[in-house]
Amino acid sequence: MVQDGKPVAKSLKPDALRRTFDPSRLGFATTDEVSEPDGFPGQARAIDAMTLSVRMGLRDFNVYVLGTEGFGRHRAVRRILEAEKTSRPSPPDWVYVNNFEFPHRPRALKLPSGSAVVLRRVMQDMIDDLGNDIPALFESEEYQTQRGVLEQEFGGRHEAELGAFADKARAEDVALIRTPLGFVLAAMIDGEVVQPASFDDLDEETRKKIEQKIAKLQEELAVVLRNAPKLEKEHRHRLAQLHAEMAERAVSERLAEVAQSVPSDPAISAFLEAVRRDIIENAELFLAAAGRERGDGPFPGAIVKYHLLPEFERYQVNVMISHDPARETGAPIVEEDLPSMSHLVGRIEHVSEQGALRTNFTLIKPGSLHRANGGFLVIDARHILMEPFAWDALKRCLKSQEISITSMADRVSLISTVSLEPEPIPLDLRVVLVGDRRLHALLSILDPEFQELFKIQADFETDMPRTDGNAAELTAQIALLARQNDLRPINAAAVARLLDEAVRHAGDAEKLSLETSLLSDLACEANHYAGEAGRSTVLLEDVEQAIDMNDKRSARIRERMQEAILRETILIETAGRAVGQVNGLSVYSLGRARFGRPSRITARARMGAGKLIDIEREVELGGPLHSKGVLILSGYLSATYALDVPISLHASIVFEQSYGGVDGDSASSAELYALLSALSGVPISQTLAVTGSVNQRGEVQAIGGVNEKIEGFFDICNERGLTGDQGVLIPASNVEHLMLRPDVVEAVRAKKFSVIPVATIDDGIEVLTGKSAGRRGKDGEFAKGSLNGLVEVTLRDFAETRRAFGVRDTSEEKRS
Amino acid sequence: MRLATLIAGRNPAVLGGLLVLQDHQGARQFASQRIVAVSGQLLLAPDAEQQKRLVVSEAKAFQRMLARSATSVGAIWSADVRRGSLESQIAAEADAWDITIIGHRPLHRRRGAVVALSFAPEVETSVSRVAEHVAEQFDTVVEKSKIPGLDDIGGFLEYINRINALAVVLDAEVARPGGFHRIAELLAVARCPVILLRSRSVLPRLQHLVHIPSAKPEG
Repeated sequence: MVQDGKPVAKSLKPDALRRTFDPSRLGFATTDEVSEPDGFPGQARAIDAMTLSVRMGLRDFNVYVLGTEGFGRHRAVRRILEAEKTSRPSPPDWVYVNNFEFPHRPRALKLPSGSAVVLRRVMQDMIDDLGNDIPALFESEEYQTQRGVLEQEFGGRHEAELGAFADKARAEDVALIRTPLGFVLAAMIDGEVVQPASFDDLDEETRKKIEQKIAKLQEELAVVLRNAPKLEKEHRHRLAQLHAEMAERAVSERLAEVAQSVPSDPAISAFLEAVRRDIIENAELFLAAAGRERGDGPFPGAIVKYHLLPEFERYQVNVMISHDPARETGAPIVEEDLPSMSHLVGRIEHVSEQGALRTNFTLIKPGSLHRANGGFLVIDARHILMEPFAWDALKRCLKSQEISITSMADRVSLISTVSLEPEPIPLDLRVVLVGDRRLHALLSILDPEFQELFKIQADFETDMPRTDGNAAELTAQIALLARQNDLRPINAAAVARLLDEAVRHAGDAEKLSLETSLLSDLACEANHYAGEAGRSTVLLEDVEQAIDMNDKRSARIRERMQEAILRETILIETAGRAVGQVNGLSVYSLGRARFGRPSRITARARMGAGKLIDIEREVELGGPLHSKGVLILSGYLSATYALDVPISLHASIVFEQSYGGVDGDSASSAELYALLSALSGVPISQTLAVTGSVNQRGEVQAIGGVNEKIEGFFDICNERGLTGDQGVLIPASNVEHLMLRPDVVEAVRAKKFSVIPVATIDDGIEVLTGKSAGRRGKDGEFAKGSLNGLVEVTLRDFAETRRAFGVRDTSEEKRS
Repeated sequence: MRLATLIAGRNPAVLGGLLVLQDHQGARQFASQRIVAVSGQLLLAPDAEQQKRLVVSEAKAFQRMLARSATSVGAIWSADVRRGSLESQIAAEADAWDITIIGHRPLHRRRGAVVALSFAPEVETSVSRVAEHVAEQFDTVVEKSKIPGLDDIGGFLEYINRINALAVVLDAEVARPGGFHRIAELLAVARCPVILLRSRSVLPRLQHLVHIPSAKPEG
């Protein structure tokens, strides 16, 4: 704006710099009067997405909850799941039992909810009972008698055959002699065995007859003796039958009791039948155990926990998951905070026996997939991605809809040991993955399975529009936080101040930040100060103190930088004018703490080959966005000035005394102002600082951190003493983002400081130099003496000088 | 040897072992003669030299087993090898020892009953007691047989030839004098160990010592 031929800076009014909440319009005295919020303010999109995911019955509609930490994602997830769980039935129990046929493939049994522990207990009781019943049966007279008959029968059969043979041999004058190697059939004469030497003395015919006789008898004896193993086998078979009959009585009775104690279920019935068959086949286990455990003392072990003995592990019931309907209603919700592979899918443990690792179905341990089966599993995305093979294991289970247990060692084939292949348990699960946006983007791009398995994204907002309704919702949220943290009631003024902080944190006067953790922390700290002051209510001053102390705690680096500037270690002018030099502004972020700081930007120009050097980029301290901004300046210059001559400029731009990296284009307008000043020779006021990016059309564009940048320059000026002509140029499009500190607002109100919005480079240069920028007239020339005109003159001079230099050079060459 | 260990362990004992080498130990009478192994295989019968070596090996093994058994029950032991007839050796040893066990290699694993063969009522108790003790340790039963005398043993021999017996227990007195050939016969047909008791020495012993104090001089 130009007045009396001179540009006039139009500073913003104080009201435009900070729009606060009026406590009197909030409608309550303290948060005790505020009811709890219905939902989560500003998160309708995310809540709807989550609700859809948890209510959909179809597979693969798992949900990724994306957003930033501190915005209430976990709380929202928990609340939605808690509300949904009661509408789902309690899921079934799952157990692993022995597969008697293939022990390395344990069977998974699905049981009605709550019945797994019952089955385990009754099976243990049954084994303990059978440990007494079966030995007693085998000690009974009935068994002893039947066994004795059996022994006699088979013993007698073999002996009878042998006895008959011995009689026959004797009748033929052949003695049956037992030797270490077996039986020898020796010829007898007159009842005496013939000695070998004497045998040779017998006549040939007699010898021959004896030999033939003995040869025949040898064959017969061999047949008799070869019969013995067959008799043994038959004996064993009959004995096994006897044992089975005896065991059957005890087992069937006890199993009937077990069947009555558990719900009627085909899976349970099949298992009990398998147990029955196995116990009958292996009744000797009970006999051996009883013999060992009872002891010989005066009080033989009357109560022996047979089910604890290793040989009876085969009948155990390994409860993977059991839901007690009396204590748990609805679907389970599991939050896994250490989602390693074994924690997720479970693990198979091993025990060392004589140097070898052994395992069985009782050593299968459940993971969170088992515990959450039938319900919901909440996992942090970063955590699961950090655990080796965990993400892959989760996807595999979700795709196959089964929980299959593998170990890390199996995956990397580190050890070869006896292991199991448990029957997979079907998986019916909704997974809620909570993570940040960057991880979501990476997964979407790099993992083709991710989008298939996590079809729903619940995108949590970081802020919401500043309306009365939303302010009320956020107030309700504050009241809830106060109750949850057991804080003192917060009065309306203090709540209004917290709402102001929410606006400030959003970085936009039209928005309210949804980072509830920030508000919660401030409220907690304010509550502490109220307590120290002996108050029963949290007041405005407590919140102010919390904000101040919070700021102070993170202010060390900011103060050191300020000190360096005030001590002129870092050169920043806040008075006077200089050519080719301007105060730029940058913002530093350290965690939640952000602060602004002025930086001197200088530009130098001379005749050259048309090069604009960004010194930051040359030394690789400038990031790509910064380099882009500088290149845009080059585009602006070449499109705005001396269009009829080549650009013959050699210029350099630098952030003075900046030794760390620089990125972003928010200082590109400041850089352009410095360059224009250098080209025109018109000095720039050092009482002003500049922020804003510029495009090739010379339009000043919005930047981030506008509040911090203004406050950064204000603090320096304030420390040196405000002169009234100091201020900051900001992009006009940033005005609606302003939520400055009260002390800055007061300085503006007292006309000691200004915040000046500009829309174009021309607007800005006029404020900075006090000179009219100039427009092209009908003759195509800028107004004489205007800043643009001076820039164009300089550029034309450069071009002309360069051209003359080139002609002279060529002539000299020709002459030589 | 298990029987010997079992019986010796019950009382403090001296354990003696005697390996009787009979004239005919199974050496080959003719070239094609075979040994029928317990498994039913036909093996070439050893010649005299081979038989000799077998006997030496057998004697050593017997002595080792005897020593081990005796040590396990804390008994003193002695071992001997003699050549002669089994019948005469049995007679001699049955006279010298309280209990004589005439061993026999088992034919199969199945345990039969312990047969207690008694002849006279007054020794029935000791024969029964020993038989019951053995039966209890081997988890089998006792079968009691009674005959008037050794001359009537024919029927018993026929019986024992046909049954599976773990051992036969009888009183050695019944074989005196001149009846030990029948004991040898019993051994051949029973095909199990025969335990001979010298009945007078296995009567029940006093359970308590009676201390008779010496007379005190008065005054």
